[in-house]
Amino acid sequence: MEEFVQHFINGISLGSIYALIAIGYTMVYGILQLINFAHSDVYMIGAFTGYYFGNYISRLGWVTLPSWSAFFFTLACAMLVCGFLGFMIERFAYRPLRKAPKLNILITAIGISLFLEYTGQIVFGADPKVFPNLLNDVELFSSESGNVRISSFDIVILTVSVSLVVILNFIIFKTKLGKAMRATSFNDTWAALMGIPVDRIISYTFVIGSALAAAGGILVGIKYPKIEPLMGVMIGLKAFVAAVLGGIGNLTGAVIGALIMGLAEQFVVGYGSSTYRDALAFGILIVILLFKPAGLLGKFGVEKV
Amino acid sequence: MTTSILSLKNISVNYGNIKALRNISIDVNKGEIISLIGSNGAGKTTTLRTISGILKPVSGEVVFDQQNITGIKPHLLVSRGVSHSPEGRGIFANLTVMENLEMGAYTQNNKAYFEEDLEKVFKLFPRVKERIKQVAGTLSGGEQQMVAMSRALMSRPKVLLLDEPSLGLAPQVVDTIFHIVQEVNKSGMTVLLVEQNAFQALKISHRGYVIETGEIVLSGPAKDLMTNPKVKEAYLGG
Ligand SMILES: Nc1ncnc2c1ncn2[C@@H]1O[C@H](COP(=O)(O)OP(=O)(O)OP(=O)(O)O)[C@@H](O)[C@H]1O
Ligand SMILES: [Mg+2]
Repeated sequence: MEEFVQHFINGISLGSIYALIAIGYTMVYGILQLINFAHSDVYMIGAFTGYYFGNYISRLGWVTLPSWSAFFFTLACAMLVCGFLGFMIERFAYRPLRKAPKLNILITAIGISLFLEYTGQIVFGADPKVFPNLLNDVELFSSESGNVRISSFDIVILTVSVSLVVILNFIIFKTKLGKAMRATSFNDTWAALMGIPVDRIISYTFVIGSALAAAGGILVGIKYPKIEPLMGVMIGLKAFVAAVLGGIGNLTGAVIGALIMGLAEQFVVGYGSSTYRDALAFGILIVILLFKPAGLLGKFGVEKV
Repeated sequence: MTTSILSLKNISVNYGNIKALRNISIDVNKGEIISLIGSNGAGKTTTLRTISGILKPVSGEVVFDQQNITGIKPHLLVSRGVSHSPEGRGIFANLTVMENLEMGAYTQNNKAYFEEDLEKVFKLFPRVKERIKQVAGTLSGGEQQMVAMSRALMSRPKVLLLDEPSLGLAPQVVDTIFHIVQEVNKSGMTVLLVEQNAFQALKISHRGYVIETGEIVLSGPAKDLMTNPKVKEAYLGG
């Protein structure tokens, strides 16, 4: 039982990181029907921004490591940088192809992804870097047997992701911008007829999704402090599967899918073997595609009257 | 005295090799209801989509309020005073009725005007008020059309473009819709009404245009068109 609780805690923690990344896939897909392959690399850039920024501000003596201010400044910086990167990717890679065949856009997405990965290897170096020690990990709770431990990182990861998801939900469902995003994702021509500046709405979608991925990068950085330019590949795939599992295009679905992915992975590793850690994502993907291609919450082919 | 508020001058539009509109000219005067009638595939929707900038004409001009708006970005037209309610109603089925109306008022930044307009459309369509919190996709076709019209009014347009508002609706609902078109027109709104339902459209219109395979074949006062033998035969069931 204790073991179960421990896997559960780890699974939720991992799943909430997947959620931050899965949201970006699902938002962009919802609005452009595009699988933004570069998204996982934006997450990687987020982690590296955190690496450089965290080291930089501590070297300048603006903050001392580890500290809350170091963590939050670094988080904010990575989110800003990646928000801007997401904006640029949409503006200069995808927008010119908006009316091009789907395949051209897909190939471009893969191209951007490879570009970021290999540029990353040149600029950052291919060898893993140790993420700066932004926060101290303290054990908050330990059961008598020592089999259940809750560390402060688990709580930080959960709190940051839940807060971001709550803020996102507020934006999407309560603000004019969010309503315009939902309208645009339903039908962009009709949205334009309302006076909604569709291009700007699409930009915002990329900015928000990318900023969330960056937050994921920082959280992974503090928890698993080895980062490298290809770190986005596997986690990106898992987040993508999470989005598909929840029903791609559906925000709540992405979060639920991500939690399921995180839990499934931890349980497989805990009770089975860590050999299957990554294979699991493919397994789940195959099962969804076979039995429920629309995903758990997805409405396949949203009715467009 | 009549002043033209919207005119299409020698507009031609192609879809690839298909010539959808050939050199059509339409004039809409302030305060009029103009109906554009024609059968399936005649080019009615194409005409409206060209006015609102979704399609770019290969030649010709669209002039609105003395300004050339040919090829303008669709979203910029709304704040200038054109509201286009698209074919098939264009309801955002994933949004609530209220949110649909808010999207109609996207360019309206004045909160007081918004509230005022909301009251106005509630008066025109009490049903919309009843359904305000409901997800729009769950509404009946007639209710959705009411929402579509309400939404189109929320931007305080000078000209309302309606693409087949009677499509697929029960006769009673059609009567209501046409009645409301007349009502808003009486309060000063100019309307360009696209319809296959020629008889009812002409009945409430000042003037009309008949379009066939991308060409305007007839135009004139609605009364004259209704008694024109050709129109009667082709569109009014003999
Ligand atoms: N996207 C498109 N691509 C190619 N051809 C098109 C496209 N849209 C319309 N057409 C063609 O252009 C012509 C005019 O179409 P349009 O939709 O304007 O007709 P309509 O008068 O609105 O008809 P309906 O009453 O059926 O709505 C038709 O022959 C149609 O097949
Ligand atoms: Mg049509």
